[in-house]
Amino acid sequence: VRGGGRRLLSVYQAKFRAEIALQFAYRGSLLIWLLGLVLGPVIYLVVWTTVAETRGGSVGGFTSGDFAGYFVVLMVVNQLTFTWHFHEFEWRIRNGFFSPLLLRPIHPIHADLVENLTFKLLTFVVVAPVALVLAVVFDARIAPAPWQAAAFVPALAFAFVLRFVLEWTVGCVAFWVTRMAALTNAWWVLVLFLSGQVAPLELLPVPIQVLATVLPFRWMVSFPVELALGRVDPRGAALGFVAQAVWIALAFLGLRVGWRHGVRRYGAVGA
Amino acid sequence: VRAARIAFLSLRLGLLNAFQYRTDFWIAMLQSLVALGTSLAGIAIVFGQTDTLAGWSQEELIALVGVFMVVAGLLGLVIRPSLERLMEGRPPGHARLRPDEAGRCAADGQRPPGRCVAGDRHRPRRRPHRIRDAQAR
Repeated sequence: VRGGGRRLLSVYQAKFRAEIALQFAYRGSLLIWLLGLVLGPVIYLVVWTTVAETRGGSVGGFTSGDFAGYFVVLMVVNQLTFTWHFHEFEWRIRNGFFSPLLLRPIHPIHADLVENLTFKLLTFVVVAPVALVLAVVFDARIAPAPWQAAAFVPALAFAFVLRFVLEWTVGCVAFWVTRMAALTNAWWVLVLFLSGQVAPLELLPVPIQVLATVLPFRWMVSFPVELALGRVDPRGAALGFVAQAVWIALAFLGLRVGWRHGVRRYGAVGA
Repeated sequence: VRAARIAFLSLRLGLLNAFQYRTDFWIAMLQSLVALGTSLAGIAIVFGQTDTLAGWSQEELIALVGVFMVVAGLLGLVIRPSLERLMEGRPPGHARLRPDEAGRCAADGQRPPGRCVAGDRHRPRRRPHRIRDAQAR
C-alpha cells in the first residue's frame, strides 16, 4: 500500500508540473475564465446591494454589507469548488479520447483532479486580491465567530470533494447518452439556483430552500459561505457536516457504480 | 444593397447550418429555453423582493432580456459559426500561412483543410472548455 501511495504521489507531482506548464501556455484562456469567475458574483453583488438600498437598507435580514460579504465569500468558495470536467465527457466519448486514458494504469479522475487543482492554484492568486478589494469597496460585513471560521476550512474541503466527485459521476451519464449538452446545462442551472449563487438561499421561496437542503446543492457551495459569514449555529453546522458526509459517501458510491458499468459500454465513438 | 445581400446570405447559410442536423437543432433549442428560463427565474427572484431595480421595472428587464436574446441569437446565427470555423481551422502550435485567405474562407463558412491553414489536424466542433489541454497531453 505504501509503495502504491508513493507511486501515486510521484504521478501527481509529474502531472502538476505538466499542468502548470500547460496552464501557462494558454494564459489568455486562463484570463478569460478568470474574468467569468469574478464577473458573475460581482453582478449579483451589485444587484442585491441595489435592492437592499431601494428597500431602505435591508432585505430579508441582509443589509448591503451582508450582501457584499455573501457574494465576496461566494466568489472565493465557488472558485475553489467549481468543476468543469463533466462538460468534457460527451466530447471525450464521442471522439474516442477516453481510449488513451483507459490504457493508462491510473484512473482518469486523477488527471482531472490535478488539472482542477492547478487551475485553481493559479487563478486563486488573482481571485483572492480581487475579493479583498471588493470587500473593502462594498464595505462587506464578514464576522464569523472563531469556531465558525475554523469550521469553514473543513466545510470548504468537503464541499470541493462533494462537488468534484458528484459532477464527475454526472459526467459518467455520457456513457449511456450520446448528447449530454442539455443535461449538463440543466445541472448547471440547478447548481446556480440551489447552491445560492443567484441569491442567498434564505431569500428564495421555502420549497426551493427545502429542495436545496434535501439535495446536495446547498452543501456544495452555500454551507461554507454561511459558515464564513457567521450565519450558522452549532446545531446547523453539525447537520451540515453530516449532510456533506452522507452526500460524499453517496457520490463515491455513484461514481464507483457509474464508472464500472459505464466503461463496459464505452465504444470509443469516433476513435 | 450589396451589404444587405451578403447579410441575408449569411443569415440563410446560418439557418441551413442550424437545420442541417435535426437533433443538434432541437438540443440547441432546448438549451436556449433553459437559458431563457434561467434569466426569467433570476429576475423573478430579484423582483420577489423589490418593485424596481435602479429605476427598472420587472417588465422592462424582461424586455431587455428578450432583446438581448434576439441580438445574441442573430450573432450566433450569422457571425459565430464563421468564427468557430476560423478557430477550428487553426490548431495550437500551427502557424497560419495565409491569414487573409484563412479569414475569407472562414467568413464564407468554409474551411478547406490544408489550404487555409498549415496542417490538417481535425478538431471537433464546439469543443468544450479546456479540451485543448487534454488533447495537448
